[in-house]
Amino acid sequence: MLKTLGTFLAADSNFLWTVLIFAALMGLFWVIYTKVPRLKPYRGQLLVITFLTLFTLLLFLCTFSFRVKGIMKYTTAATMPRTWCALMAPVIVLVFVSILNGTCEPDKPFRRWQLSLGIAALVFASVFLFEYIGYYLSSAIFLVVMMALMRERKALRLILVPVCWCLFTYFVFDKLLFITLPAGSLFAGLGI
Amino acid sequence: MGEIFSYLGAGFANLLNVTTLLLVLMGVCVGILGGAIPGISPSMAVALLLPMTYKMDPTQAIIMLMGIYIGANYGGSITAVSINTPGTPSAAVTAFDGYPMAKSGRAGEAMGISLWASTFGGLIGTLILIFFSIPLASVAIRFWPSEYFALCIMGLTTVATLGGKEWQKALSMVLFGLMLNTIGKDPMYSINRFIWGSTALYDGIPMVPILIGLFALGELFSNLEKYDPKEVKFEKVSYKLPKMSYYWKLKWSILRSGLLGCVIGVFPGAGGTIASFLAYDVEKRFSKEPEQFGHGAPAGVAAAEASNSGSVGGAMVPLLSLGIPGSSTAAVLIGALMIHNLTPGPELFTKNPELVYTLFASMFVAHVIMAAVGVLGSNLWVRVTSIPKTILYPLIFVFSILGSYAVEKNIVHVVFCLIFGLIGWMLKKYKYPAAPVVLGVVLGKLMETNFSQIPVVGKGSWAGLYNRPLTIVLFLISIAAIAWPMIQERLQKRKANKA
Repeated sequence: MLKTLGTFLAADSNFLWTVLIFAALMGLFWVIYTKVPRLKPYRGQLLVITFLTLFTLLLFLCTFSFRVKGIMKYTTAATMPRTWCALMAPVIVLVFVSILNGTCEPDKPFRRWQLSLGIAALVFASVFLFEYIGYYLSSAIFLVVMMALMRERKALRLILVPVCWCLFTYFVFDKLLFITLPAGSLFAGLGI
Repeated sequence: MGEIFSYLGAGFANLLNVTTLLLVLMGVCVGILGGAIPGISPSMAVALLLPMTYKMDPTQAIIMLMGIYIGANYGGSITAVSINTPGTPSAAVTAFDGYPMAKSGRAGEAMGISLWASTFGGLIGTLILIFFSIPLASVAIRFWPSEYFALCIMGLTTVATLGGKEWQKALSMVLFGLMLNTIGKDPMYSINRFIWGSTALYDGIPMVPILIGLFALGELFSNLEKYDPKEVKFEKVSYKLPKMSYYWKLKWSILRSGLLGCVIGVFPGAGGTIASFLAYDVEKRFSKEPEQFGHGAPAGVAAAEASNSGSVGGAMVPLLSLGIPGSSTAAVLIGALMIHNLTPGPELFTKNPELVYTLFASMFVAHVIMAAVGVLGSNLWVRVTSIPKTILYPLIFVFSILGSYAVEKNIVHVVFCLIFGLIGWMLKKYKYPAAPVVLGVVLGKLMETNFSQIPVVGKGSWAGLYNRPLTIVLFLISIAAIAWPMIQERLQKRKANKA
């Protein structure tokens, strides 16, 4: 049974399913921790350790899908991951106990999490744009938008910072260190 | 002994060219600047600059990064003294007495003490590094795989002991790092593990994006969460450093704290912060006026800074001689050695002695440069606090993105970096330390390789794990390292119940 489950979870084609199951379980625990008044003040810390528990479980199950070669006399590819999983189990219990018996301080509330998450999304967008509009333009746009999100209102700074950054990266990375940064397929297509 | 001096002489000779000296100078300046900016830790400064060294000569790359490490440890004290905002976590102790001194019009004295205590503390650490790491490496090269495996276990478990009240979380993070390390091809049989068909994961999760993500982006997301657009304007601080004779009275404090810092720095996970807290406490006990501590005692500033800088040399002892990092910044330096195809550990002394001894020599030079730069730019470094966050944070972001991309020119690495940045933010938010994750990632492969070699060397027997005295001693220390916080917790509870 472990082998069947492990093979299912580790299969390339089932990656999305694995992620969905993982996310669903995390969501379920989020609901549980929110509903139980005693657990609510520690919800974030409990979610981190729940993530580790599920991650450990996932890795442990996936080890059953590893190939076993004839030359593997004493150890296999699964030996070390299973060792860490086995050691992680009591540690997870210790963390849960320490959180529940009040050794740890309650979670601090989030403040401007929207700004952090918004900027994370902006980084993703910027990375996605690398290939199309190139590194220089993409990072210049990123800088302007991030500075604007941080409520920078001085126009001179909004112009000078991206320009100086692009010049710095061009001379240091391209000319000095010979690390060519992506020029972008759009400009390549236009023959620029 | 004579051999050490002749190699060291060759190391100094290697430094005698303009490019190398400029790189040391650049490293120290960048380090001081990074350290002085609150929110940039030494590990973050080194991680951010790491990708820039990719195309450099390995020796030049390592000595520049070492310059950053040394400079950042001192830089943290500048804002701690001038505006009571430690630039680095370890400089928090410097602020205890440095800021009261500055407030009472003795900013120059406090700044001067922190500079010279850092310089001499660092030099003490460097001397100890040279005289301890060489014999230790010559012993370590004869280690059996079981001894190496036990040594790594010991290194990782001491992290838990030093994890403070929430040591369980530190331990869980070590194991998380070790698990992350099992992703990709296994080192013995080349079997793909946990890759779900992704070619980007064949060689495992790359080190540089993990380092930049956890140390730089994680910190940055956390800072952004607390970001207030209404910036606090600090009063301008200007001062004059006292004459050299002023510092003579602090010689014993500096010597004691430098030595203590170095010894503490040797233990993985301890680092400069614990070193400065302990040295401060020791110095307070030695002082004839302990009541002055916390109200502007020069010995308090000297103890904090000398121990903090002494810990740099200490943290390098296990890194160079055993391949085990003594601090989170040392873990980043291991990453630097790895991207230059160098194996940290005793083999470094036999295969790349010129790199090791040039590094030793560069540490002396970096401390001298740091003193000179500190004296000449004394009023300049304080001004870093006036850099607006609206410029600083976006620039660190683009530097991180560029850094994680530049090493392998792979966009997937940038995505990894961002994911680890978000993980780092959550870990910081919920007080799970990120440094043990890096230690786990760094030591994972070494542990797995040595563990798999135990039965090979023992011709099918696992006896190496229990019949070699050194292995047993190391395992016993590891067990004690885990048991100690548990016992301590019980004792404290019993004391509280009795009271």
